[in-house]
Amino acid sequence: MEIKFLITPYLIKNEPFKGILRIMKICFVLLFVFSFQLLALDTKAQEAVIELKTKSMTVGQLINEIEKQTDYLVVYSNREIDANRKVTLRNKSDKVSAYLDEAFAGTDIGYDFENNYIVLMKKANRNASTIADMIRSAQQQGKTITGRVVDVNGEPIIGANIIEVGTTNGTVTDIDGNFSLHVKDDAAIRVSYIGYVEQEIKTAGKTSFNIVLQEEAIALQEVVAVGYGVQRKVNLSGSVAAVDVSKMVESRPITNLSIALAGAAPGVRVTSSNNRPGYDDASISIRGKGTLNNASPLIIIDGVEASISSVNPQDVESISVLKDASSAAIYGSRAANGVILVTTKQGKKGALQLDYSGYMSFESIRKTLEPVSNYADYMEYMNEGYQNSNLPKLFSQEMIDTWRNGKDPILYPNTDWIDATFKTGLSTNHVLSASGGSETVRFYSSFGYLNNPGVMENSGQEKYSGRLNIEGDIRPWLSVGANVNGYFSDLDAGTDNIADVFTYASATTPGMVFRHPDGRYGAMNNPEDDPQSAANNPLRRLNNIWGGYQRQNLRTRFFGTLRPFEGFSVTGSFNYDFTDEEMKKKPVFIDGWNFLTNTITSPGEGRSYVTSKDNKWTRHFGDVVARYENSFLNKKLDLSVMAGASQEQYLSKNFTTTKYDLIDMNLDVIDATTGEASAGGSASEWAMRSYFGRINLGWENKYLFEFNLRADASSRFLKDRRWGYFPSFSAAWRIDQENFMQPLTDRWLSSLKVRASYGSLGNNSVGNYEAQSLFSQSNYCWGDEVAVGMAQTALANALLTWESTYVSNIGIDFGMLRNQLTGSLDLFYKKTEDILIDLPAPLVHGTSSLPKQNAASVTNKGFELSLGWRGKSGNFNYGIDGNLTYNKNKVVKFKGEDYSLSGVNYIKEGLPINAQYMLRVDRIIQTDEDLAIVNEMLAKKPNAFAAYGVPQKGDLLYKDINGDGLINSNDRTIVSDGDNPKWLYGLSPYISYKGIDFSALIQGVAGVKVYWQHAHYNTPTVRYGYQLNRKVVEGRWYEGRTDASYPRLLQSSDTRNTIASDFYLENKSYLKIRNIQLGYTLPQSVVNKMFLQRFRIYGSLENFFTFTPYRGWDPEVSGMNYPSMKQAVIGINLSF
Amino acid sequence: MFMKKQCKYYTAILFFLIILLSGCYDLDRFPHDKLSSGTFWKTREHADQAMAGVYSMLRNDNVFGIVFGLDCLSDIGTGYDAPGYVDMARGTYTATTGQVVNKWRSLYEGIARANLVIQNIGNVSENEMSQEIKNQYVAEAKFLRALFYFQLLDFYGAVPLYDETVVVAEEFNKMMEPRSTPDQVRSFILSDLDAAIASLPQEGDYAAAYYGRATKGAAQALKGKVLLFNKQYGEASKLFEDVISSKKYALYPSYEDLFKPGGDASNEMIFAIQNIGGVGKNYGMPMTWYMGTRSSFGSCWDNVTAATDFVDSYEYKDGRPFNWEDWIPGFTTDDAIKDATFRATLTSDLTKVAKYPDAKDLLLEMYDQRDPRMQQSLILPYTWYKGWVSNAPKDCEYVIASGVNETNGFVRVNNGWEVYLWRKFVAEYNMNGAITDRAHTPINFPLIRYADVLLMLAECYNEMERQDDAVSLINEVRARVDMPGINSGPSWLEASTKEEVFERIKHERAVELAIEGHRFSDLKRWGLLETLNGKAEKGFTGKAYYTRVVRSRDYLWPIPQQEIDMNENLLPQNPGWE
Repeated sequence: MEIKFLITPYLIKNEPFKGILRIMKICFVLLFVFSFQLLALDTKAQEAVIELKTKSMTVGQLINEIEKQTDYLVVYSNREIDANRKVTLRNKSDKVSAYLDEAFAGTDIGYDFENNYIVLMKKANRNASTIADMIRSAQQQGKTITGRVVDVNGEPIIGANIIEVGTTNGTVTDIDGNFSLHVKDDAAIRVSYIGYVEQEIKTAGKTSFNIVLQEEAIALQEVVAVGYGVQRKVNLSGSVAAVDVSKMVESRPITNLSIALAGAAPGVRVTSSNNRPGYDDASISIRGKGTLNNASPLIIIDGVEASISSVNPQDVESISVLKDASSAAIYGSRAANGVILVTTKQGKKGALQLDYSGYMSFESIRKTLEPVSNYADYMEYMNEGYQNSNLPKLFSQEMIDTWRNGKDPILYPNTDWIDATFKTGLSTNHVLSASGGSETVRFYSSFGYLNNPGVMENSGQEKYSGRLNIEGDIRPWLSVGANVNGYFSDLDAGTDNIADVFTYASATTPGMVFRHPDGRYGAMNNPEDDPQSAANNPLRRLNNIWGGYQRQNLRTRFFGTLRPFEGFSVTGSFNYDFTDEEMKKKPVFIDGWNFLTNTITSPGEGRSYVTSKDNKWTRHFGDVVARYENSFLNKKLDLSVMAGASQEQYLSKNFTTTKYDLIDMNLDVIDATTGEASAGGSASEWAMRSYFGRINLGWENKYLFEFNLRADASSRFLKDRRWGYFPSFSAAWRIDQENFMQPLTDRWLSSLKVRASYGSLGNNSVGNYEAQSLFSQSNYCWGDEVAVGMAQTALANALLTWESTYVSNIGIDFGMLRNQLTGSLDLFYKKTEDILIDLPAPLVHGTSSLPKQNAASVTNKGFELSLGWRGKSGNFNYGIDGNLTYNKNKVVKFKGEDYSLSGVNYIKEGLPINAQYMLRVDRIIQTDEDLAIVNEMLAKKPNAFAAYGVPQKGDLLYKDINGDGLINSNDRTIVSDGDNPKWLYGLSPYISYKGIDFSALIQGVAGVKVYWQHAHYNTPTVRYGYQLNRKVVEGRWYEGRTDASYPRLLQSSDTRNTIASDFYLENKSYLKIRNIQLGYTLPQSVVNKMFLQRFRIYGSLENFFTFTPYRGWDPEVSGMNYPSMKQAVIGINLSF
Repeated sequence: MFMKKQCKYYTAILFFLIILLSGCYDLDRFPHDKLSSGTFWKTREHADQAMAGVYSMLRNDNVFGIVFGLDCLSDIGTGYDAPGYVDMARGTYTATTGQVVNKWRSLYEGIARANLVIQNIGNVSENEMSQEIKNQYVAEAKFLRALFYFQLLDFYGAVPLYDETVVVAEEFNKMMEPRSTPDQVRSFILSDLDAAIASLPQEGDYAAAYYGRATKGAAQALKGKVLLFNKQYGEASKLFEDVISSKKYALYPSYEDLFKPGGDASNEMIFAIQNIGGVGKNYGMPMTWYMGTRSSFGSCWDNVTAATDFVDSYEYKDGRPFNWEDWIPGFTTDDAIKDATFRATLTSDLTKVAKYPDAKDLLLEMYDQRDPRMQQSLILPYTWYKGWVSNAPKDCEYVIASGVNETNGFVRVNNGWEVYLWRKFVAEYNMNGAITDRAHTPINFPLIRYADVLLMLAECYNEMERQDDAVSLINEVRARVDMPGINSGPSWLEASTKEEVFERIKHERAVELAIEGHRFSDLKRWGLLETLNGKAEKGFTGKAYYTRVVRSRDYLWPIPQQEIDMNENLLPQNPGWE
């Protein structure tokens, strides 16, 4: 029944999974048929022993006993056999054949065993054809019943088993859920299907049946992907979270698989730090930040390391997150931050199936910052700030008045840059997939199209993706297959300018028309405003480049498996992954207009050029994995062994050429230019070789033990520091399997398991050549020619080697009340040693970048809890899954008493990573009493404020933390535990009633306070030509005000109020309702008329609600960057 | 049968293994665009490359890359943003200010690169480089090292010393030396310069392809300057005299052309940063970007402009001090008159001047009567500038009116200030194609030139009570631009006392060396920096743009806070910055 383990609870419960379910059903039908044949061949009825209560009975009574106690029907003719004839038998217990011999001894009746029948007839008439006739006629007795098996939603269940109780007579439902079966008149039938509660139905007096099967909660029957294999979840001894992605991606606008993980599993933190189309990989961290380096987990797609964006989310079947050492150690040197295994959909035996899903999504940003858009107000605020800094007013009163009275929005604009820059985008996504298989060949194929214009102009992405997963059994002992997938994506050229827009959008003022209705772009209308910001019109910047990026990706995996003898297999694979990114661009010279004077004040100019650039990345990967599985000692001991080797290499290269002076601005290739050219190019590579193995032992399915070992060698380290070894082991005890638990397991306890693991993992997050001491170019010129210069711009550390992370994990998994309530709790302790760190060096070392060194140790301690409840009442199904993670990190070894300070990020032994270190603010000096404190301090020490300037009314008064009467850098202190949230949580409720389904995903983090300062968005400073935040200026102090929430406005070069202090410490906790969706599946009767298997329509809101105290742009985005989009989605899912 | 079957399987397995593991990927990988230190330092070419690496630091923004902007910290310039050193000018900088941190760091980078050459030159084989040549290279590295340390001494005072015994690649996080005293730093600089003087070739002795490398004369002049800064006038004068008597150097006949291609490679340039431009060879400095206007090549920013008072200090051609009242009565006291003097109005379509100010012709006449260096160094109102607009040359007039735009042939100041603009070092048209990037102006930038040496020697002589000798040197500089000599007759040219001659030197250095980045250091060594405190920087139309804040602590910048955070041995912080 291994097929059972493929079914995850979601699949069964949830509508969207019919596609996969159907494939499974088809498989099941085939399996069923197959097992029937097995039974038939296995007939040994003659030898079957039956027991009788008395030795004396009629022939009829004997026949009944035989039928009752065996699977056989006895067929005879009433004319030939007298059923009332009494017989006396010798034994109360004997073989069927012995009884028959006795009962008919001395008569002319003989018997034959034929299939499921015992045929009694006159010896004289016995031959093959008469026996067959007898059986046929016997079969015509009784009645034929028909019926349909559906689930609670009225969906047909394909391949459900219908068995006449007490016989092996049975059938399976067809693709519409229909069945027909010949049974005895008073027979009972048993209807069963994997994942559903079995039913027994009496047929007496009825021939037509509508059977509704209820789903069964069987969470613990899942299998999950683990490194180089799959395992039943109940048998796992490590900490692995399985995420059923196919559910989510079917009806959420997920363009990047990374987003699907948000809130879905405990211990997994997903931050969409950049949401720019085509560059929207979310950053993922598992169980906190165990390193001072890149803390991204290793992503393995179908066995090979890959970028998470290279897979079309809709092709993904499941994701496993390997969190502890025992499960991740098989990936050794790259697994320290956890491993994410992505499994794509594979074909299954069964009828061909075609699915379509598509959606339209209306995207817009969540506007959290409100700029001052009234230009007259803006000018007054600017003047106020300049005057506070003893600088002349920037704007004349007449100009302010002119604007206040000006009505025409083109002549006197009051532009809100956010409204003017961001638009509502309509993105569409279509995925068409086909799958199926015969006995020997299975395939899954898909084609996807995504058009995501984004929320800014000229920055969209169009993506076509395709996949073919195919596998065939050439011989029983040999199968081969290939996974081929790839995409083609077209990114608009303005994509390049997006970062630039976020940099320069603040360098505009509300007095600018971004774009005239007639298409012309604005510079500044006010001649008194900063001419430099004329060029910063975001729309003009987005559109001043023509061209784009074309990315082509091809990933191939060819594999073969040999099974030379039972239990043993060897799989070899070769993988090639290729990405090419071609960029072409040329400038578009757009004039900037002053619409007040109707003149061009910022001419679009520059030298015309064409740039052609090409980046290529290739990966080669090959592996051989041998597996052996068997049971010993009466099947009590299960053993499986896996051993393998792999090697991989990564190459990247690029070249770029720019040539000047286009013959005509309409042309766009290098050959259309006549001027000088410049070119550049480089290449980089690394390689790795690995050996790995695993032993699993299980005793009576109760005691489970696993041992893993991996050895890795990487080109990133010098020869003698190259090899790293990563062992791990784990054990689990399935307490529910113990006999002494029977009283509990019979009642409310469904499952209970404890597990523990320990092991070591590595992290090789250093540059490809950091161990090598190198000279790179730093040119000068002599004699009017370029003099090639060489300098050690990067220092090297020949002693570099892996970071080692040791993870201990204790976990408990449980299920209660027929697994309606399931959950698990993990406690982990993760210690990372030899952390590769940029040990800070004094500035006197120069500007060369520092090599990483294996220096620090960090621990992460915490727990993860996940709980799920699913229930139903009638047609009403509901459930909720929740997870909660707590993690606290601490630097346990650094440089003794020494610390490193990079900005406000403070690293020192005993503190969390990047504790926030800065001044504390005592108050905003608002009153004369407040100012008296300052004067008092000055009276005591005239240089009390020498470091940052003497504060005046409206300024921040920093705390004198060390009490020396001076406000200076010595007063800095730890104000927060750093940028890693302590709490993560996710909650996903669902409800379904008949065809209607509703679900939501809520996700959040808590316990994170981070310093954020942006001159134009959250400081009360003004700068000529830059935007102002309304909240800041409205909260500013001015003479007479005593309830100011911000200091007075000052010109930005006066840094008195912008010294790093806890005034700019932001609480970045948030709760996001990532998704709410409502779907409706049309009833089967309606759908069938449309020649469909399934038709579901849904609406969903993605990322619509965010609750956060954060005053910035988006709590997931650091500073100003492409924020996450709110999306309103309508979509359909169809199956043919 | 069984055996045969098994064989088939194992053959297949073997086949798999062979295919997969036969081609083992090489685990020794090297970068494709960099040289490994193991293979470097073999040839003279390598030595040249490492040396060019040291020189390239000169062009770094925090070393000498925007040195012209430092004039904004003196009486010569005004400015905004980083190139105008705005934080320093307004007294709002701290020990964490970027320019404070980066100047320190970049200068030490230059020192580290120089040390690297000195450490490794010995590894080059004798066939490639003779010992003599190696000595010359060491001397050259020491010259550059001295130049960097001299900057550190000037800006930060006592600094820690790291010489070639420190291998940065190995000791980078152990570089915790305390500060040496200023005298120790100075004697370190002087001994480096002595080595340089001993082994460097004379001007003209380098092959043409090496033009621009440090010479003996450069080392002598720099040593003289170091001594002069320490008021060792007698010793300094000897070195300047050596430079002069070498007869390798002379004043270039045209002051104007000295700062254009041609003059920038003349023998007036004792040591200049070599700048080139062009696609694929943009190795220049951003003079055009930060001093050019919106009308300049690449549309530029005017971060560094001229102080109005400074421009008013240009003498008349006959040496008399300039006075506005000679031309526009009431000008000096009435801002309305100032404004009227310059204000024009444009036609409603902004393409033409509707009305020039009445004083326009008067102004032009006045300019012609002034020290020629004024018009050669500055774009003055109603003079013309050879601009580059919409990818074509465009002559632009500096008209003071609302709505001027380069597209209509006007000079437009980026930040809208009504101030005098630099012409010196700023690209005209597109320099016949030589400039392709506003950040890389292909004009060599002098760090020490002959006129500077003459004036420094004059200063020495004046301090040594040799006023006549001093005056004759000043006059030599003035003579190039046909300015009458000091003490050449008229009363207004008389100067006899040390103080009077000093005033002449002070004036002459300002107008001769304007925007070459010397003035801030000059004011510091003369103890005159604080005279700028409270000075309102106004435009010529009378508008005030900012007020200078200068305190006694500004003679030295603070040691960067992050450096002190790292290395407590650097305490105490500079005075006034604690």
